[in-house]
Amino acid sequence: MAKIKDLTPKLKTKLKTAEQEFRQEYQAGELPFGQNIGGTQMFSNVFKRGYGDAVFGSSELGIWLGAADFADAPFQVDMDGNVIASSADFSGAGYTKINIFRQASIPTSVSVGDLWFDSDDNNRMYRAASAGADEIKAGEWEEVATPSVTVFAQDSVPTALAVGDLWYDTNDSNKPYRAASIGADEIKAGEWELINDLRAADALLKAGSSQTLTGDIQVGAGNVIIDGANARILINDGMNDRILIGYDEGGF
Amino acid sequence: MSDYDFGIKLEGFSDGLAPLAHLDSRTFLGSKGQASSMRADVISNPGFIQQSPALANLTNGTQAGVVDQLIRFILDKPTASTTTFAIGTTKLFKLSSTAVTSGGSPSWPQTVTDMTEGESVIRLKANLYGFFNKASGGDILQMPLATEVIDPDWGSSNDEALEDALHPVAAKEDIMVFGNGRYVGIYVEGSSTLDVQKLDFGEGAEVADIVFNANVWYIAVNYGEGRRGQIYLYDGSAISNVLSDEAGLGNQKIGFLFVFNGIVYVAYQDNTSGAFAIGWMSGRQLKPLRYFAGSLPDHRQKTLYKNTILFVSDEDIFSCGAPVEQLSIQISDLADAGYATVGGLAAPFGTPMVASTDGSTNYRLAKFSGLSVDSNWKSLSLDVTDGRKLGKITCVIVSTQALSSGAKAELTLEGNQGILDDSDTFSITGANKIRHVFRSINLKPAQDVRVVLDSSNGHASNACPIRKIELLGNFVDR
Repeated sequence: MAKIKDLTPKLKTKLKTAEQEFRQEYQAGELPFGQNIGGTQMFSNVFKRGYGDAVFGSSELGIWLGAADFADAPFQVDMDGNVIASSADFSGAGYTKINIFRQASIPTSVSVGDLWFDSDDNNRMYRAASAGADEIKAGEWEEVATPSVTVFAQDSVPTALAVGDLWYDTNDSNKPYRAASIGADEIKAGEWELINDLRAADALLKAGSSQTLTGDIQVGAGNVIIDGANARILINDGMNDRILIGYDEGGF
Repeated sequence: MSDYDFGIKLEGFSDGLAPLAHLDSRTFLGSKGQASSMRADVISNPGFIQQSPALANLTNGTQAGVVDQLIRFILDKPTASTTTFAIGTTKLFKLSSTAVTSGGSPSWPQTVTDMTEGESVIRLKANLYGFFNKASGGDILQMPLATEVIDPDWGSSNDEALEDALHPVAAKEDIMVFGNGRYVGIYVEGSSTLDVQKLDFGEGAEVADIVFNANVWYIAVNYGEGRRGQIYLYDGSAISNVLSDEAGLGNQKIGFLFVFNGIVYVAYQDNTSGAFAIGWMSGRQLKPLRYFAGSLPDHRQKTLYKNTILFVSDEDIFSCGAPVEQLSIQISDLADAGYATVGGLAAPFGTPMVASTDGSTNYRLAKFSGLSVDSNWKSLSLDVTDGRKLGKITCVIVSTQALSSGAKAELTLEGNQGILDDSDTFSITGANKIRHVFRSINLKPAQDVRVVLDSSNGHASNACPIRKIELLGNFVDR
């Protein structure tokens, strides 16, 4: 018995199921487009971990933290090793480079050269002379002289906090004084010492002794004039010429 | 000895159109269940062919109601269980699953000042935003969902005017990213940051579509009047000023992007062949899935239906995808879209809605409902020769589901690519019938035959699902 010939059309390649169709083949050296693993997004030239501005990223520019893009990040390290950071705290355990402390109590230094700003003593600065320093004394925390001075502007005599403090006496034409010692509370040598500004007198002296002035020098309402152009001195009271008038009538 | 020399079994109709059907409507190449041409439903009951879904106008959904213009975009994600919105040329519409809202306070639909072409609508938190073009440039409207009072120049008041261009938009949490001609704009509601020109793709570029997937924005851009397409990835937070990555598609114009189940699909036009295709992004490669004829759909004309992507091509609605993963990807012409000019397509309440106009005075917003009699299915052209012998079909057996009363499809055989007179027409009908045997086929011996199913005389609600068509015949000396 002859078999019926099957003329049913067939595709040479069987159709894949949808399941098979979307099976992604591995392509050597190629990341899937916008691959995302554990919140890390990997692209051709950048990867980012995080979202929005809370991002750690790496690109051809360097690495960064705290912004969507390198250029906007508060922390950046470029390919030349340059670091930009908003602040730094090196107090972590095991850190052996220079540490900077700012606190009220005496810290324990980690390395020689550590710095401590005493926050309840006007940020007085100390330098560690040894690792493990925990006292203020020679060989441990040693004060670093700082040029900080206090400027007083008041009527009464202040008590100096440091040598070099300045005081402007507000009820005496802001006469300036400099403290010659800590605790100075009197105007005298070794305590508050007057600072004489001799420049004005010096300027007049110079003008009078070696400088040539042009024009007139007028005093008061113009009744006393040193008239250089005409080589004369004019003195009058508006009515009468005056040369010298005695204090008492009839004097001189 | 058998009465027949040859047999052909057509079944597995879930495979949709044949691979080259977009190039040749009488193609010979394909599998036993594929069609050379069709407008039928092969996704509702995979494996069966049945009539296309029909369209029923929504209440107030024509010019006799309140739809007196082409609705260009329908919001696919409803703002409430019974509410979504759509945008036309000059008006914003409010919709339910059955009706276009008319009247109320404020009175719907609402005219948007200066709008000439609605582009897209999106909901972000408590507000609705609409993107539109004007006689010159464009703008963004904002409408609080609580008050439904429109601020028509919200965009230009908060940043600057839009370009007169496509304005696809996508949203995620409190961020929306939108196309603005050569630019991509962003709005971050949390920081009230609106920047309509956040990214610039340069002169001659136009953003075709934007979607969000796997924590990044996918941005499709066409360059040089659509001569070149490119897909870019952009940081999910939309803060960055630089793009994360890109994939070049080559000489292809992108119509839309669509995300489904973690996969980014791309509708595009191959400029070298004129064909249209649906593909998907695999790594940096666009892998074509299936091709289609007609026109390139844009960002306003896509939705999800029965696990497949629904889109507009010319006057029809196509489906691409697999109703279940164990079946193959199919592409099929599912249904008529209404009038000749098609606007927005979406399925906000599960059932697809489509807007259209005849280009004159008729407009409609309709949804799938019942069965269409404007439906057909045409098999591959089937070679029935054996050397010098031609094939003479002598028996056709059609297997169906048990039919309801009135269910009907008509079968005709075409010979020699339509040159021969067609056979008589056979009706596949009869209550509770599952096997339909037709003999005395009057088609002359032919080199090839094609089976044509037509539903012109079908039923509006009782389907005629066809599972298998078997042709039996003999070789004849000629």
